[in-house]
Order: sequence, then structure tokens, then C-alpha cells
Amino acid sequence: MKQARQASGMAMVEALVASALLGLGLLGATRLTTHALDAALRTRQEVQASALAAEALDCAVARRDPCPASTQRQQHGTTYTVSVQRTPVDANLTAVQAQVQWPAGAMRPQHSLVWQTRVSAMPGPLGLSSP
Amino acid sequence: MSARPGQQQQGAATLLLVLGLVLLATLASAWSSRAILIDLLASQGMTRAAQARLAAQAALATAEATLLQYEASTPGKNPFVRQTQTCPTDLKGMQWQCSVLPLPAHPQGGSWSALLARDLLKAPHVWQIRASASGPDRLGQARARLRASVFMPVIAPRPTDASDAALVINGCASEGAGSMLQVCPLSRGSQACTDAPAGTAILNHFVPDTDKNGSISTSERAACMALAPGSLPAGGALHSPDSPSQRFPCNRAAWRSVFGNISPEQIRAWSQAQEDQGLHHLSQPARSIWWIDSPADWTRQLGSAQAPVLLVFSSQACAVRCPRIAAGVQIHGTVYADAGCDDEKMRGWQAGHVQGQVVVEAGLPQLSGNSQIWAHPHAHAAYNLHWPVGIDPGRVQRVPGSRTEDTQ
Repeated sequence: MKQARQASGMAMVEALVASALLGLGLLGATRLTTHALDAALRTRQEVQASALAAEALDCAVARRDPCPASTQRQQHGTTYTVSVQRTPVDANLTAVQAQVQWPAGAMRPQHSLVWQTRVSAMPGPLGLSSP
Repeated sequence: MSARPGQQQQGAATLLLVLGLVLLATLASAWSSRAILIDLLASQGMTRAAQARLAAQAALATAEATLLQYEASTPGKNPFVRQTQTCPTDLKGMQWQCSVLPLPAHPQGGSWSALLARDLLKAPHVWQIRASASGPDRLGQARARLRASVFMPVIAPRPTDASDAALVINGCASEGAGSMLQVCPLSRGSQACTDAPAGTAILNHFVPDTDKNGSISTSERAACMALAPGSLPAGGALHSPDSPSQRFPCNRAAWRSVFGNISPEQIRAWSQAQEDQGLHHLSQPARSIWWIDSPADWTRQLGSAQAPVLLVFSSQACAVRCPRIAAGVQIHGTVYADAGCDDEKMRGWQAGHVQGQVVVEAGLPQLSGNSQIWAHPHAHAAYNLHWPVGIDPGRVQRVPGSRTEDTQ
């Protein structure tokens, strides 16, 4: 009778230790996965923001119409705000900057990505052939 | 008093099972994290490359803006005059001239540069810009290169209606005693001076109105063009004006009829650039533009049927008497003598053997013997540059379809 109680007590301790170990391990794995998923989301958002910035700069450099100064785009559940700013450097040169902003979550500040390039006033030809 | 061996083993097995499960969960998490990390690195690489490309584009635009301020008439502003540079390995041959175009500091702390290159023989008016840029160090080593070409108004186009006469003069011509002069226009066959003529032999822009009656008569034209029939063995038309004109101050009619809006300053700068590049008559490839200020007579063979030249005796060379071309010396291409409408500077002149075109800004009194002037269809190739339709040769503009990029 005493032996049986002792054995039952040992099994309970083993189960508690095993549960604690399993819990710790799963907690670590879960945190790792959460960080990974967060990084994946951030990467996806940055790739998306980069694409929007590149598109906005291409539009501004190629002087296509319409090429709005500011737009909002919804992509995969995230709202991106794209704004383009032109700043003259001199008479023949303009700096073009595209800024993309998107919400990062309740606990973090807003994410932002800024790309810039320059465009010259050099005219293109009317003809199509090249030398 | 102690647990049985079976119960002890059961506890160890439970512990091992738990450790295995934890290990499995950790491995699974690590595997997914690794995949995500690779995606992250890949996207960062793409971002760096895109930013480097934008920086290269900014460098190219800055270089273009600098070239827009270029003034062809101010040699000090010519970037090729200021800084020369060894050309990249893909630009083979002495005809390639390269120069670093100074750019302001990179606004985001990265590095950028712009190199200019041009072919001094075939296309001195097409300047290639090679811009390269890399982001700041925190962005890694992504580097982008962009190439684009622009037309520069350094040489005007040759007029489409330019005269192809063997001899273009701005005054009367006569031949000296015992002359063996030959002036032959373009021929319908391959034999100059023997096949049937296909063009004008002599184009004259000035005939004096000797009787002062306000018109040029046939006899006045004939007196002005006092060449024996033997001097025109293949025949060909002789064109002279029907009405009197003013020659002084020198109207440069001969230059305009052949070179159009090409200015002497443009030709001189082109010649100087070829000389500075080390091109000469024996180099490979050979120099094609020769602007001569020396009054010494010319004794050097120049050009070939495949690579004709432009030889200009400047007003400085012709200050007292235009240089003669020694007998038997062959020139393939166009020869121009800037005598400033002063016939005396050309008296007794000798043309050597020119296969192409001779243009004289005066008359040719007593043109010396042993002068052979044979028109050639490729006489103007040295300075007849390609200007596509739609291009305004008077301003800087992009060459369509010339932009290429290379990101590393």
C-alpha cells in the first residue's frame, strides 16, 4: 500500500517535470515562430512598399499622366500611403522623392520607406531611329 | 522501499519523449525561421539593388543636367578638354575619348560617378554617359551602372543639298602655262576621268560683272572659267551665277555650299581633339580631320577611299599665300582653302592629286600643272555625321533607345 502511494507520487512529479519542460520548449518555439511570422509580415510589407515606391518614382521620372502626388493603396489588408515630392536642384535638375507609410500595429510607430532619385530636363528626340 | 525498475524506466522514457517533442518543435520553428530569414535577406538585396539603380539614375540625370549647360563655343566648358581618362576596356581603339564628369557629393552618403565617352572619328556628336552608383555602406555593396547617349551640338550636319562638284570656287579660274590640269566630276562608271560624267565638274559662286551692266553674260562666264577643254577630260557641267553678286566682305559662299552650318570653329575643335587624342596619318585608325594653320606647303599623303579626310587650310595658313599640295601627293577626301575671297592668295596654287573635292574660298588664277582633282562619292564621309530624323542638331538631347542598365 505504501509502495503504491510512493509510485503514484513519483509519477506525478515526473509528469509535472515533463509538462514544465514541454511547456518551456513549446513557449520558446512559439516565440521563435511568432518572431519569424512578424519578420515575414514585415518583409512582405517592405517588399510591397518598395514596389509602390518604385512605381511612384517611375511614374514621376517618366512624367506619365496621371501621376498623383499622394495616394492610398490597400494591399493584403495593409493600407499604404504613397506620396511623391519634387524638389528643384537647379534649372535643369529635379530631385524626386517617394515616401511610403503603412501602419505597424498598436505598440509600434508607423513604418516608413523613403526612396529618391533625380530627373534631368534633357529633352528626348521626336524621331525614333538611333545612330 | 524504492520504486520498481519498470517504473524508473517509465519516467526516463517520459522525459526522453518530452525532450524529443521539444527538439522537434524547436527544429520546426528554426526551419521556418530560416526560410523567412532567407526571404528577408533576398528582399533586402533587392532593395539595395533598386536603391543603387535609383542612385545611378540620379547620377545620370545629374550628368545630363551638366551637359545641358554645355556651350559648344566655350572650349573651357568642354568636359573632354578638362579631364581625360583611360577608356573602359570595351571601348577599343584610339578614336575613343573618355573623360570623368565631376559630380557633386552623393546626397545620401553613397558614391556615384559619371564617365563620358565619344568616338572622335565616326560620332563626335554622340556622347555616351556611363553612370555608376552604390548606396551608403549600411546598405551593403550593391552597385548599379547605367548607360545613355546624348546628341551634342558640337558639329552641325552636312547640308543635304551640298554640292558634289569636283571643284568649288568663289572666283574665276585659269590655268598656268603648260598645265596638265585635270578636273573630273563624278562618273557613271568606275573610271574617273574616262567614264561619262554624272555630276558637276566646277561650281563657281562669283563671276565679276566686267561690263557693269548688272548681269553676267555668257562671254563673262567663259572668260571667268578660262580652262582648256583638255583640263576637263570627262566633261561635266560648269555652274556659274547668272547675276552679279558681292564677294566682299568675303561671303564664304564656297564654304556654305559644301559645309552648310558647320562652323570653322567646330572643325578646328574637332581636329584639335583628334590631335590631342594622338591620332595621326599613320595611326590605326587614322586621323580624319586636319585643321592646318601652318603656311608650309603640304607634302603628306592623307586618307584612303575607305577612310577619307577633311583637310582645311585655315585663314591663318592662307594669310599670305595658301599652302600648295605637292605634286603627286594624294589626298582622299575634301580639301578646303580659306583664302578669304582674295584671288592673289591662290595664284599659281597646286592641288596635288585630290580624289574627292576641292573647295576654295577665292578664284584660282593660273592653277598650277600637275593638279588632279577627281570627284569621289565618299569625299564627304569624314565630316558627314549621322543625324536621325527628328533630331534638332542645335540642342542637347537624348539618343532614343540608348539607355541600358547593369546592376550587380
